[in-house]
Amino acid sequence: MTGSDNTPHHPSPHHAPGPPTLSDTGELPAVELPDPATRPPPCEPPYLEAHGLTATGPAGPVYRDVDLTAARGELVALVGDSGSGKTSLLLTLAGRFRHRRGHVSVGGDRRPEAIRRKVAVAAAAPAVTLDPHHTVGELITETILTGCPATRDNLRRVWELLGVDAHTGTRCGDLAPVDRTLLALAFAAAARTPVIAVDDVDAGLGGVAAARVWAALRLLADQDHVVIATAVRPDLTPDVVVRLHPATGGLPRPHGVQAHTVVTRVVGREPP
Amino acid sequence: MTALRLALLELRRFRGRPLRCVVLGLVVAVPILVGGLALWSQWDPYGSTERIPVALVDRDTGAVVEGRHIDAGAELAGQLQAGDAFDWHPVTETEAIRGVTEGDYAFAVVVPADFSRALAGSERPHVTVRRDDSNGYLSGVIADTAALDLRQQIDTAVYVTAAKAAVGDLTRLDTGVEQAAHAAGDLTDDARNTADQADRLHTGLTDLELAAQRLSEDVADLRGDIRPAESTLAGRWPAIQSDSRAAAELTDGFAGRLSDIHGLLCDGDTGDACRDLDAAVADARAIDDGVTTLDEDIQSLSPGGGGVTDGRIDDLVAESQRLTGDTAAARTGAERLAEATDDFASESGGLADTLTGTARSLPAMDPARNAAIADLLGSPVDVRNVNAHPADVYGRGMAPLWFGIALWLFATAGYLVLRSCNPRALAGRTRTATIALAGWLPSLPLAVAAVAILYAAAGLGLGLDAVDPVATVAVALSGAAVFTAVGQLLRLVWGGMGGVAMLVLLTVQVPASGGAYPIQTSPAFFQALHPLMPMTYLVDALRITVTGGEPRRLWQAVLVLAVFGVAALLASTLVTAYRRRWTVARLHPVTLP
Repeated sequence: MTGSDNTPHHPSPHHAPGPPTLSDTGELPAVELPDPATRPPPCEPPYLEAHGLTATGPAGPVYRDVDLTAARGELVALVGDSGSGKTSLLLTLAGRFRHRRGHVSVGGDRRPEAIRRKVAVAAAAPAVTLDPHHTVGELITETILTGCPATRDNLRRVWELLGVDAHTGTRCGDLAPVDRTLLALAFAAAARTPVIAVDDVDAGLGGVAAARVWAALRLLADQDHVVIATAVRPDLTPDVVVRLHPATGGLPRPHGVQAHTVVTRVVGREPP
Repeated sequence: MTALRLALLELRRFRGRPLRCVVLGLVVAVPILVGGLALWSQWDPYGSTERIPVALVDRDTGAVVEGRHIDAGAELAGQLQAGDAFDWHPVTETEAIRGVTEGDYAFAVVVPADFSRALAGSERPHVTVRRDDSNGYLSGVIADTAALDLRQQIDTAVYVTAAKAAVGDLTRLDTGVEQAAHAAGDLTDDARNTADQADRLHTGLTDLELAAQRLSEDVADLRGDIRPAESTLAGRWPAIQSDSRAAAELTDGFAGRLSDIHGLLCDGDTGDACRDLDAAVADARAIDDGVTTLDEDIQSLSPGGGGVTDGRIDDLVAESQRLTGDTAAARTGAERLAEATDDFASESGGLADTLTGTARSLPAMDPARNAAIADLLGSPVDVRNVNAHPADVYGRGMAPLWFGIALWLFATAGYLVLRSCNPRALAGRTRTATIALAGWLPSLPLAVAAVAILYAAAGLGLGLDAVDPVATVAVALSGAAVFTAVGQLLRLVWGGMGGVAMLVLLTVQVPASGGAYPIQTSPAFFQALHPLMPMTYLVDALRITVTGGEPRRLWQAVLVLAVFGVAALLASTLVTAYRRRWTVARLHPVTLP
């Protein structure tokens, strides 16, 4: 089991160096405490907690023993190659996946139905996608029908906040990938759930477009959401990074190779 | 409401790109492509057997029976070709074998060389039917179905040949008997005329008797008042005399005529009819004699002329009384005569009928008549079929099954194209039952279009002529709705493999529905499945709406069908609830490319 502790983190060059925060279990980290001035500990209890999450598929474990905490206002990145179990873990945290062991608690509730009410899934291919044959207008209708209380007013607000650029007559499949992702985020945010989950935020995006999406995610987190996003590369600065290893691409793992997860809490970021 | 709007959104996915509309159109066209084409191709196969080419080989060399040559083979060949059971080709045996092998003929009927000889020798002659099931098994089955007819034709030929062998030239006999029948018919007419005349005679005599009675009374009155009476009688006498003369002539002519008939018919014959006729002639003679005597009396009497004495009057009274008695006797005789000639007429009418019947039952040159007789001789018991709700043609009888298959394939194709549920709704907050319903509703407008096209094609194009068109469409529509609910459920459970499951279910359901062969002929496996399959009830219901039947059975079938539909929707709801959480298998489904 590798994911339960806060392992020492080596921040990227563009982050201010800082010590790791308190671990989610409340234990003291093995390394030196950070300077409280640079990174105050979260003043709120974690909104989203996961303990010992393990899921298995026909080819063995998909992810193993994931422990994770996130407070409102935090951005969680689930990072790994394609086939490493990111989508499964994302859906598990959203109360939409049958895992084998461990539990997820969102807002203090462990029941999947209750979790689902608190988490909106923007995209999680192939489970949840925006149909490319629908127009944006039709997708708005669909969002209002399926995402109560996603009203047009709510939608307009996040639409402006995220700077979505899409005309209602355009077919979703004709939108630029970045616009499609932003649209999905806007739809999810319109439901005003405390948690927003989005899969593969950087898929098919170049650096600039990916940066736009990460910026949008941060914006949403700053709106007091817990934002969980999966990505191949965590280009920017999430608060929590969960690295999933190794990718199997759906194939059985070689004998002796175990799935494992590394959870890192990023330090040195300004609190929201 | 949410379900309806989601269903509408599902259908709107197919707008825009022409190819996607075409796909939806193809789904709607599945029933007519499957059911319509199948029904069209086999609408009336048993009514078109005259287009099936069949080889006919007559190798019969004939036989000689009691000096007469008979050829039963030729008779049979003629008999078969006269009928239109098949498209007969008289060919050589080599050609027939080649044709059957190469598929030019569906089968061949071979009459062997010793066919007539076997018949003459009182053996059981045989006819060979050469089949090759590589020409299509069902053409052989049709041959079997037509074998009854074939057997009848063979029976006819054998019967005609045997009759020819026994009686020789049947044509002449036939003609002779027909003439005799005609003669008997003429005789009957004569006898009827005679009977009419006897009736008239009887009436005349009755009048005469009354006149004689009045005469006798008048004569008796003479005793009191002779003069006026004398003059009255004298005044009336000529009339009485002429009446009497006429009666005498009538009876004379009648007796002569009857005697002529007797002479013509009963020359040395002692049949019942002739004996009756004999008696009638004797009666007529007796009447004639009586009436003639009476007439002579009347003619000789002459009340006029004066000098009438009491004694003469007494004589006259006695004479007139005798006259009355004689006339009464003659009238009774005439009455008997009328009855006798009437009897004769009806008997000779019977004779004429018998002769006509005999003439008809004799083998003749007309094959159709011979076939009817052979049928009568070969099958003395006639089975009468009473069909409360006849389907008439094969296609009309099979339509319920083909409708079922077509609508099942429609449901299968429908959920290859439609999504079983809206994935965003599944991941979102829509209620589970609403999601299941919203997944089913988009198939309904497609079902309406598909059923309308299928029914229009079958009704207008093929002449389905359903007993109750409205109920047929309604039942087909409910069938389609139930089948799509099942299709949606299987798609929900197995994803892309749901279509495969639908096809497997179809192959099991078709034999289990009892739509083609009676379910009792199927193995126990299908009999056990029979009541568990929705198609069983659709076929049952459609049979009643198409060819008619007990409405109670229709309602039962529709009710069970509805239960299947509701059960499928409930199951879909449960599955949808389960599927609100994904699994690895669903994120990475194992499907064939």
